Amino acid sequence: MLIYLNRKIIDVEDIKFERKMENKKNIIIIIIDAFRTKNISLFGYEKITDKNLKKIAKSSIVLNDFFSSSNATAPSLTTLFTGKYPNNHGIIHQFPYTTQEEINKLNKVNFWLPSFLRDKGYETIAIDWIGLWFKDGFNYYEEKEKKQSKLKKFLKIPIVKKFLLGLPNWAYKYGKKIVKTRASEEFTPAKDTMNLGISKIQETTFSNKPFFLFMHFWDTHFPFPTTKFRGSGKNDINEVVKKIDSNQREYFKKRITDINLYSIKDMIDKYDVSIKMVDKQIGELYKFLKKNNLWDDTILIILGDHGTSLTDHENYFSSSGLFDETIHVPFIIHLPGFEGKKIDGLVQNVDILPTILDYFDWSVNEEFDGKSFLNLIKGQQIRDKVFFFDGLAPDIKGVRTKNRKLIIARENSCNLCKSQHHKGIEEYDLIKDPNELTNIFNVSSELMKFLENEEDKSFDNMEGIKTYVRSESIFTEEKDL
Amino acid sequence: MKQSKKRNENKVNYGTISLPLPLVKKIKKRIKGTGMASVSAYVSFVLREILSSTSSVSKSFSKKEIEEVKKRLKNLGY
Repeated sequence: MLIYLNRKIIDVEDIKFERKMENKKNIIIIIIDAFRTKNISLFGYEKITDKNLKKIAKSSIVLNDFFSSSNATAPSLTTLFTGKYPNNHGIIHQFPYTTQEEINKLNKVNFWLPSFLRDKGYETIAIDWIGLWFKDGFNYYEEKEKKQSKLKKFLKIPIVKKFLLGLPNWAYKYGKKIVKTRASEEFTPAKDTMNLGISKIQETTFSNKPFFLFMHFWDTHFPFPTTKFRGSGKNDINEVVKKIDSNQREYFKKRITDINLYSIKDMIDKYDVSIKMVDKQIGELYKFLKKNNLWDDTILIILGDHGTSLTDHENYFSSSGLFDETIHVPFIIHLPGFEGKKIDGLVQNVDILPTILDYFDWSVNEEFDGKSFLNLIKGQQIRDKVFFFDGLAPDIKGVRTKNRKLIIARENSCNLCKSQHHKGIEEYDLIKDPNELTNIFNVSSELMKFLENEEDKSFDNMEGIKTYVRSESIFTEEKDL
Repeated sequence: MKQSKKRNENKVNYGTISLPLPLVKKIKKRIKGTGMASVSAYVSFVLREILSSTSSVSKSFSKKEIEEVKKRLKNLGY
């Protein structure tokens, strides 16, 4: 039987039950927000914040040199789903600093991983709240099951409503303000995120379809609103605040107003506790997958969308800037058929999508900036450099090799705190100066020579980066910066 | 087609659709032993195959949605 629909002729008799017959692997991607390598023992942290991640790592691949292409969520996740760098998919800046022009550019992008997987027969599920363009391609997109809170239910009881309306105006307004404040602080705790994710996996067993589950844990983002934590009672924050540069001071003071913590150490400890909390839930998922014989049929990817600065580079609890603490993120992948090991070699989030396509041997008519890292797992380096864009400043970009990093800041006033986390052109020797403290930039440096002579085709295709790194302005006009 | 009450914008809701009984019987016969769970699953599968022409992204979101996201992000310092 031939059907002519939407300018396509389809022979319905030929449609095979592809999803069932191909025995496709399930895919889970877990994003841990503002998750940096420096605070988990898998990457050398002195505290064990990652007991379950370590357990999973034993039968998974850990990429030691994994970098996000952005220090902000929106550009980073868009890269994950398009396989393109922010300058090529359009979304360079974090929402709400994203411009209409950037969104228009994204509109022209042809490939979107969730839509692709849905069309391949996957049940596509996302547990997140950011929505916007990120919900495209998902059959289900929620952060929690919609339930009315007990408080709201109580307030809707007629007699209570009547009583409230009878209150004096000031008392009514005060009560309304409290309820509103509580509502604005409603972030979903890791446990609920995971419970919903697992319940959605269970639902897919009825449809006999493979699933793509995307889960985003925001618990690790300052001020860690879902984490229960009792502070030490120490109060040294005023001394610290005095030392912060004046632009950032007001921003920081505003952010710590209601968090009931008064020392930097407490804030860092709370970050560690929030990582532990997410780690515990990932442990629950691991147990669930094992118990239900899904582990060997599931690709599990765990990564940070970007890192964060706790106090590094005098940047307090923010992911602004392109120093390694904001872009070097943990990456763990359980890939059925591959043994667990830790691997050195530069990789980026832009490489994840091409790797998934490569693993399944799916060919698509689309050009990606990323490269499959299956070859890296087999022992062959895939990159000699990584690129990244500041999603929280108007115009800051960078490129990093294993040993050197170059950051080019043109318009550098941070959208959040108005500080300048980078100035002009900066170059760091990551071997002698791993903390990126001394700017050694000069036009004839090792890295500049490397970039000037770079013949890599993928580098030529990097419109935008090319403009900033290889343009005449860098090598002539701005060489004295 | 009756549309079930829309509970929220993103969640997939289901509606009922009428098919001639001989066709239903034919589908049942066809899916027997294939692993396809039901006639509904088969119909959804066939229609999805026909309607999905690209895997591209289509960005459409309401002003209300933008405001809600902005509010949440503001609580995180953005």
